[in-house]
Amino acid sequence: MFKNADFIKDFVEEAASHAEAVEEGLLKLEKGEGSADIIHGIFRNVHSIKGAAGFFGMHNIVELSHVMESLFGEIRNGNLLLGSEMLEILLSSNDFLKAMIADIENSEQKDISPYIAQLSTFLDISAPTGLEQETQYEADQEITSIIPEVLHHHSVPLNEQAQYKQEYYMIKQENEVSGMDGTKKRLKTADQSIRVQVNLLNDLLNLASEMVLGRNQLLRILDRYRKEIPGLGTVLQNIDHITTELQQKVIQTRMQPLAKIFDKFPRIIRELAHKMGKEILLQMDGADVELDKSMIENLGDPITHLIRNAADHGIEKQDVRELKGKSRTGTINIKAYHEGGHVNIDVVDDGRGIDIEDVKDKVLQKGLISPTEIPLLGEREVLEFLCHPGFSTAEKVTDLSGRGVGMDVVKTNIEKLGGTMEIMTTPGWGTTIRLTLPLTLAIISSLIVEVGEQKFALPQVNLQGMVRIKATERDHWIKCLHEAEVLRYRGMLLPIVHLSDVISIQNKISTTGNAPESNTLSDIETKDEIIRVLIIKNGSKRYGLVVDQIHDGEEILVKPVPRYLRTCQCYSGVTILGDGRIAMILDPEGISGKSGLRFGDESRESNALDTEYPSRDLIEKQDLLLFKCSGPETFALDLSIVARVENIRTEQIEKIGNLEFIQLRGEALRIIRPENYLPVNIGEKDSQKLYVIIPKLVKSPMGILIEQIVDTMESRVEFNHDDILAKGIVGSAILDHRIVLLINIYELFDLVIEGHHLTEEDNTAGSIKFNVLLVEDTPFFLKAEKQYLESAGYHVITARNGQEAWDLLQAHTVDVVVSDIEMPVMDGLELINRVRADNKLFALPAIALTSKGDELSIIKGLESGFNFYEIKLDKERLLEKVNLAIQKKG
Amino acid sequence: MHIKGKVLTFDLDGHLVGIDITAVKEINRNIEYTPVSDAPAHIVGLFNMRGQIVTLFNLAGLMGYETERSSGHLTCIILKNTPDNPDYFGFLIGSPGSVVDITEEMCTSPPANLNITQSQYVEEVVKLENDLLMIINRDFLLEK
Repeated sequence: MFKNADFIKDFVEEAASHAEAVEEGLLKLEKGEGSADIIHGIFRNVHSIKGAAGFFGMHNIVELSHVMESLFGEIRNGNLLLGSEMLEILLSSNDFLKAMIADIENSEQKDISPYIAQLSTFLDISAPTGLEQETQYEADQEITSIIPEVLHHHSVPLNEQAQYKQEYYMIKQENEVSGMDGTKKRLKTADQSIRVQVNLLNDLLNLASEMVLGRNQLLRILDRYRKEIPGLGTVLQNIDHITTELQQKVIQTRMQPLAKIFDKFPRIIRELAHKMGKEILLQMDGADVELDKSMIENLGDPITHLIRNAADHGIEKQDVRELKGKSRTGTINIKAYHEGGHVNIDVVDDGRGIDIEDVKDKVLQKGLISPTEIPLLGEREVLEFLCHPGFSTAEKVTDLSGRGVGMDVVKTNIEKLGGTMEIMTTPGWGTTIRLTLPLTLAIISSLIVEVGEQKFALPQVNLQGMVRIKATERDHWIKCLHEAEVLRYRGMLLPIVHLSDVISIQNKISTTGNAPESNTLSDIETKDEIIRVLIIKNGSKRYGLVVDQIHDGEEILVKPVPRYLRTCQCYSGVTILGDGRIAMILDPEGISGKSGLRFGDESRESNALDTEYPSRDLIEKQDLLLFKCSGPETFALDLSIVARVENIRTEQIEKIGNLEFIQLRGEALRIIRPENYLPVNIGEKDSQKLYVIIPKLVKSPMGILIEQIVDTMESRVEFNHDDILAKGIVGSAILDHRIVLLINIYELFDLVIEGHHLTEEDNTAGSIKFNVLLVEDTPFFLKAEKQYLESAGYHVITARNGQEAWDLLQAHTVDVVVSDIEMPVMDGLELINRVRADNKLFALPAIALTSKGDELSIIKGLESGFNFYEIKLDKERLLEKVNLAIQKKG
Repeated sequence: MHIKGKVLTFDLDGHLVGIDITAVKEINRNIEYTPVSDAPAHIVGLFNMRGQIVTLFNLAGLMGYETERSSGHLTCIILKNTPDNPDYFGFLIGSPGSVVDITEEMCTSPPANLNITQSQYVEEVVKLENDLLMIINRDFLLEK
């Protein structure tokens, strides 16, 4: 079933930590720090080991832990007192348990009978001993009464030594049984993790990254000797691999799971929902996705803010939702997942969404933009205004959100981490906010630029585009408003900053055409001189930065600015380039600050001067074919993969089954209509004149049937990959003020071959899912049970104890509860008691799912109010009972 | 309290200067450094010491000497870092001299007529047989 290596590994790790906790607890008891909590804790730990081991059929572990559990049960219930002798035996039994867990494969061959025998003696004589003891102490003192006993024990060192000797003897004996070397055995059971200073890890990461750079240099220099020196190639390859692996491992050491942040969200949502009188279901996926520690630390606040926003502004009140035909319960879904070397975190709500027109009105109202510009803005650009400082669409400011940090702060914080934030929305149906984050902070991608023969690194996140302007066209692109130079860029006027001015070095290029006096270089006036402007984005700010040269992009390791240079505000860090030279990392914020750029209304007003300049003269041009199919959308296809475009008439299309063909040059060519496979509109087929695009470099050639060729365009376009998410589409971009979808022809053809129609998928997604609340404290049972339930199509929310479950029940609509009995904080029995006593929840179907299979427990469970009592862990029975329970409710 | 022990001497624009050898990490010859535009005047630039960033000070300039920096072979002294100041720093020198043993009797405080900029950085003056040696005050450099 689930008896695979992964689960066993999970079990071993978990059981080992439980055994470790048992030992800690026992030692605490020995020191006289006895309290009911500790005994409860030990009981639960032993119970967890037993339950999990039973799942794998490890009878020895089950048997030993069962006896230990029973003993602790007696102690917990006050029937038995923990004496020093019992403590010793429990400790040694626990040691043996640990040994068996550590050597799990051979655990069945171990002889546990001596331990069972010793432990059983206490159980057998428990009643009389317990009674005798009880006559000596007050009934409610049973736990604290260990203290005098232990004190007494300590006052007899000889006796203690003897005890230790006995323990040592036991260990030896146990090792003889397993036939292993004693010390090895001890080591194996020792802790599998150690604490390390973060500083040390930082240093390690730095060194490893340096090592990577060093390796690169080494490889470059030695490459030409590969043939001349025998064996060099192998050595280099080896060093190459080891270095890469070393770096990866070191990066791994700093990784922490997102669960660190996610764990607090259920609580926050519960409180918010309560406060606002809304019903909100929180779903979280990808809590196990790992990110660099420093990122984890800095992500908590921004994501919390987004969730608050979603709960406050996004999710509507129940009545409003009902009117709109949505479920009364709003859903907030937090998803974290890897995508292309990045980690995406989506905060999705199914609330009211963002009304673009509302945002536009607000933008106008606040005077952030002039009325003439509004029609030019795409949806994405409009939504970007949400991140403008001081912007809020909420009707009223609540104390939950809309005050304090706004979206602008969230965005700035995310960008500080080298990430980006995007807003996607469907008015009426919800909003998705996507955070895209690099895996680690220390290495960023950057563009190397040069000014005055010095190289600088510009973080790629701050780069929106690059513009190359020929000196002859300078006057067209660059205007002077009084003293200030501005650049026309995609319908905006951007202030221009010369990097050389800001950091006061002499440069060669002048955008005004007048050489600075200090500049003696002669080539300024030559006609072919090119002005290079980087379009810098920093939060909502945009400006052009003039540099002399633009080099390649490079992955760089960020080092902090030495303290002696703290006064320089233009740099955010230092890095060592591949050639071993040092380059400063530019800080866009500092540069705009130092050059005295004031962003706000002034810059917006000046924007209005410019209206129409298509982005045609950008570098790194991509040739695009723009066309339309039957719907209103404009598509683009890279011209390099287009073999030719044929002019056809509707009558030429022949149908064979569902497929359409045309005859071209004596051959039948299948043609497809992209709108049938992509999430776009399908219009009336009324056009007589059609075109077929015939692609090249494609395995199974098919023609793409289109209605209208819009344009061909040379452009450097940054396609936004996330706005319109669908297979077959690379992304969207705004060209000539219209949204253009770039088609990925390979994916499109895949779709065609699979016969995959989006509409079909949409239908199936609409079916109702039942929500199951799964309460389980043992992580791998949780994992397995969740898997079972999800495989059957249930939506599962999880809690690790009764209290968490209770909290979740307040905030979410749940159709059925599946709960363990033995759990910390609040057990299953108390949970069900509370549920049955609650006015709203009393009828909620509940299934107990536990490893306690004795009759008494079953009766107790059913009496407390569980509808069904199931023993772990039979998939079919569990699903059957869940199904029954839901039917019962329905 | 006069210093004693070993002192590393070097030439700085024709003057004989020394520094407590225990503070020195290493001497680097033929270095290439990257100037930092917009940096304070007393900072020459940054130097890559096996992956560590070292800030180079213009010690001669700080001492008020003429700084006609010779192009080509540059030599610098890099000082050890400390736990509370992990950033390495160093300074360009003319040429390294030797290591001399200093006893307390050889030291005097900087003479009163040494100008203020200089005396800030000079901790001691050592009377050698044929010359006077100025000992650099490392802590004062650090405060920069």
